[in-house]
Amino acid sequence: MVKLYINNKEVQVEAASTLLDAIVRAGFKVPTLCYLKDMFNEATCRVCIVELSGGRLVPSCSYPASEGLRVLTDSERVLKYRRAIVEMILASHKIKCQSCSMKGGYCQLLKLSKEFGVEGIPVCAECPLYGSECLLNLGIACLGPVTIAGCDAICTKERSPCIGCRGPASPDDVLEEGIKTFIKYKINIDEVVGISELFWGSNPLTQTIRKLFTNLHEGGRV
Amino acid sequence: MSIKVDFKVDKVFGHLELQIDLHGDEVKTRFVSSEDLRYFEHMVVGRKYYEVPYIVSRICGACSISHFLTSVNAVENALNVELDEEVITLKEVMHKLEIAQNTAVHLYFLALPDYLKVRNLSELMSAKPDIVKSAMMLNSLTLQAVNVLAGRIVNPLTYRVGGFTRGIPKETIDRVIKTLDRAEKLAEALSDLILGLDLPRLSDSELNYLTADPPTEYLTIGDYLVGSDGSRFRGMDYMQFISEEISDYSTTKYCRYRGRVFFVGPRARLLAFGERLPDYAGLIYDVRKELHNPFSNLKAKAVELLYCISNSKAVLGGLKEKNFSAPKEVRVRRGEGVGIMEAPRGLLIHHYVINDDGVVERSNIITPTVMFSKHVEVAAKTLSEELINNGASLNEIELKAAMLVRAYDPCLPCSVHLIVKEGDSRE
Repeated sequence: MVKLYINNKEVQVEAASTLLDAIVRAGFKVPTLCYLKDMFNEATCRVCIVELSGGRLVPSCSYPASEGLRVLTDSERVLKYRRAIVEMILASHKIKCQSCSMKGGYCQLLKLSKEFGVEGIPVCAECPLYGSECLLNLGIACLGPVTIAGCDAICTKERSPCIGCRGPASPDDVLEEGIKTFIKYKINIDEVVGISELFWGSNPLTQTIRKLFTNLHEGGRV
Repeated sequence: MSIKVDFKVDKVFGHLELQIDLHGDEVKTRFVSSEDLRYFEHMVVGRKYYEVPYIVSRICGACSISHFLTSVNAVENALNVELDEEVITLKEVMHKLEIAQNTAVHLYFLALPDYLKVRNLSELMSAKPDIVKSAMMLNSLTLQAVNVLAGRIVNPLTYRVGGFTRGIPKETIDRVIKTLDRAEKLAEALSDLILGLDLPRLSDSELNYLTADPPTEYLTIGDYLVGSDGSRFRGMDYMQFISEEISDYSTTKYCRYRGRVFFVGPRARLLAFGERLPDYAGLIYDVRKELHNPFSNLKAKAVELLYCISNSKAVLGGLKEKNFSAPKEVRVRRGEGVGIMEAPRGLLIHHYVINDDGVVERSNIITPTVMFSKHVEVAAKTLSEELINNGASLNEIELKAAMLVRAYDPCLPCSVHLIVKEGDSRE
């Protein structure tokens, strides 16, 4: 058995354990994405980083627990770097929430992005309506595919269309994916732009939507 | 003799200044709003018909449901949408619950401190913590009920032009009824408190009112208006009877009904249709005797609070298991529609002209505060004349006049989005 300190709380774990085991034993939480207990701990995603005394940042899922170690799970530095890591994962993740099977609140990446305020995921990701229930499927112009998530999709929860009050999902590829969704469901783009003007007003993105739509539609790439 | 009392009225929604000037024998009163213009009437022009309710419900955070539903009614009238009975019933319940919540907040937090001889809520908190606690509780319970029906406590989500977007499961309704059971007990305590108050005496010199005519019982949604002069006319014809004026000293407009100053609100509703309410142990009878006094608006509100909660409970209890029919298909066509409803503070009118593409071409919104603002001036004039004749101090005049304004419960931010100053192009 080894004795170590998680956020100044003493905890004992077996000698071959990882820091993550010790953290869980001590009753704390760190987010994980790639880690699968006893199956995969190659530390590729790095969102589970923690700070050791002395300032080293290490991935807790693969770092061995050793005697007398002092670990901080949510120091200012940890949070800063964890946010940056989430941001990088999101930047390289192909966001296709509109057609992803993890939508409806199961997506871990969405949870992390909400927790750290990293924006870029559309409302579709947390929309509780999917499949045949989707409002777009009923021909209703819903701005979910192009609006920033984070609102728990309260409007679509009440089967009321999203009116874009949180603003546009910013990366162009997300918008593009959203517009493809509109095209797929044969939604009138004028209606979409009209509703987007309610809250986005003079934001040039309302025009970007129209441009993207024209490109996608006429370029025959859909 | 010359007296000048200018003061900012606190404990009202928004910024309001009341000016009382005495020159010689004549008292002049002015209801001055210094709120910025908000141009909501212009914002909806050029928008699709289904976006309008979302926009106008943002006029007021306190009574967003009333604005939303009035606007929905106007659009539905313009496009000739026929609604199912249960949809109308649910709309009415949503509306009554909002009135209950608004009334509770107004009575407890804005009106009651005056009568308990404290200045504000924090003083009330230290003097009578029990009252503040039950106020918070009543507010939260009514909001919970609103939340279930509207999907959110402000700016409803559950309704689209044509009908509700989803039904309410029976278990949820049962839960709301339990919530309202608790709210009812608190509401009874509040109305006991309000009905026992000794109101300042004042006789209304302009007892003219205007109110929406409920087709059944009380506070239901109809198409007709009735006035104190006995006339009854369609909401569509409101322009022939109600005139709007702009003043040079305030950003709110003023209204006259057939050229006369008038008031709207709970007092008007009770004067016109009070006999339709169930008489809670002779309450209504006592209150109706007092209704010539503008201060009695508070007591009218207390009665309505009881009615709104008990009626919503009864209506919800009678709802069927499957209380949902999908929203009606809306056929876009040219049309003109007027929605009239009794908002918590009084009559609310929304008027839209929609063109062939379903785009709003013209709009007009008249809020309760606009309608009764001139009446507040007249009543404040009568009040201060009486007080000056009795040799009251300036402080007393200020306090009594502020209490009078608070009895009307004006909402200033609502009232300023309508003004058209010279040089603005309306078309």
